[in-house]
Amino acid sequence: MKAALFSAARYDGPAEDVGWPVASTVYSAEAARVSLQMALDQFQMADELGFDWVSVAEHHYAPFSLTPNPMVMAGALTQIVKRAKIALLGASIPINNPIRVAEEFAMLDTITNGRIVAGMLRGTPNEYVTYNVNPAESRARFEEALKLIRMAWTQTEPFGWQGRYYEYRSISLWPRIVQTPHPKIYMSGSSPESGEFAARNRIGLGFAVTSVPLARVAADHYRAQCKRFGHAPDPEDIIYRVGVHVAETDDQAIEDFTGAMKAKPRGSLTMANRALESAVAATGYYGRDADSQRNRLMPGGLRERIDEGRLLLGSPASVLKQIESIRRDLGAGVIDLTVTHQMGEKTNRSIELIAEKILPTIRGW
Amino acid sequence: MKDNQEAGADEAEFSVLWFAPRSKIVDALGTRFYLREEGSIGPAANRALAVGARASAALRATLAHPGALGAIVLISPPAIDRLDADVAARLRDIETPVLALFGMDDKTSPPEFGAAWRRALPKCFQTFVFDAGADMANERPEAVAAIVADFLARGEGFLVKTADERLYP
Repeated sequence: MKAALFSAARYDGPAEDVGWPVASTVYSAEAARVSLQMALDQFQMADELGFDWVSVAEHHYAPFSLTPNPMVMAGALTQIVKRAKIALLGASIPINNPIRVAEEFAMLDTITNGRIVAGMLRGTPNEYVTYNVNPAESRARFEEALKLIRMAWTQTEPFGWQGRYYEYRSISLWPRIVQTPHPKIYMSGSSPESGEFAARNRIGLGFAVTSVPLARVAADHYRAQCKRFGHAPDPEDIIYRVGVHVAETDDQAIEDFTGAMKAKPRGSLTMANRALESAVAATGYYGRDADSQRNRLMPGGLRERIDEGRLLLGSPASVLKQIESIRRDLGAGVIDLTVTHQMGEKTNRSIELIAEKILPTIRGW
Repeated sequence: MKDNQEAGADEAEFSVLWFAPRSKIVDALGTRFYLREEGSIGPAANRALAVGARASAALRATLAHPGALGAIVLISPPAIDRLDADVAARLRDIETPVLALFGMDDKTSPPEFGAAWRRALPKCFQTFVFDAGADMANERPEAVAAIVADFLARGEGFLVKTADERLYP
């Protein structure tokens, strides 16, 4: 099993963190700079301590994340992460220019000599407001953009594209992608539709903002669909992203975490603006199991989150047990360990404990 | 060809040698294009379109009348090594800009054929039509007619977008 460290590079400074989008009337440029630097430092530490991947993501218009363009963050990471893979989990392709995304991935793959993992996501529902894209078109745009990006990576002669949502007269990427035929692609796979598309197109699945019981249903569905399309996924085809905090003891970890939650309460990004979320839901964004998809985005209590595998919290031994169940129940081959609350030195210690006490064991699974 | 084209020969901007079956793109192309059926090659024809294996006929027409055809569209053309031998031997002589369209889901003429077409002809463009197979002209008539009309009208200039895309005046 492989381990990634994920940080959204949350802004740690003064803000009126209400709703979405969040006003920046109260804002500190210095706090933003320090927040981004702290994330970069922790990614560098993860690389030096033996994490297999570091991962970044795209979120907009809120202190929840200071990486609206994860490609820029990944560009910075290429200069300090010397060994681990850099995973973009991911680019929100339906709201971006897919050829620009393909070019950015190719640049990063070239600079790292083939250490890029290409997550391509639909993004959270609120993000359809970001660049004014109709969320009802999300899935169709995603599917077309993904196929277009794959063609852009693999074609060597200039070509045009006559799509439904995208039209280009001539495409020819420089630099080219390093990995052949292209970097490993992942998509978010909580809904049945996503599992089917991923299986049909031989794409890996990532689970985030979910629970082990819910992800298990989706992973089983994915494996069944893979079988239907004539292949069997590797463990590494399934990523489980989950918040983590490890301390010397369970009590210490819980005390750290609850203290951080009280000091800097963190809202759910999707549910921060309920009216907007309902309007997105009304477009059919969530697909055929909409109720289940919306429920998994609701925040829960701490105990419930730990029990359902929505949060890894405790001593190294306790967290190891939780990861073991994720490996067993989901068959996940990559655990994407998320810094949910930035606690400075305590977070650094958590990363060290994971590297010293957890990674050596899970590497053998 | 289409009935509504019968009176259109004089009005049309372009006279297209049509090596293709009837399809939904005929209506979509509109009256700018007068479609001449195969066999009616004459001095007035200035464009050509062919589907499938009839690519050889369209290319033979431009070899027979150098300079007469301003643009050729080939829809789902065969592998370049399956062209008629007389045409295959003279591909480097074809100065006419050629657009080759391949359906992304076409198993008979897949997009993989395009690169060899690009290398074989002096002025060849390849475009992949998303969500379309061998019968792209009927499967996605709006998308196919749009690029066919643009290429037939503007040739190599089709690379440059000229549509006014401002949202509001």
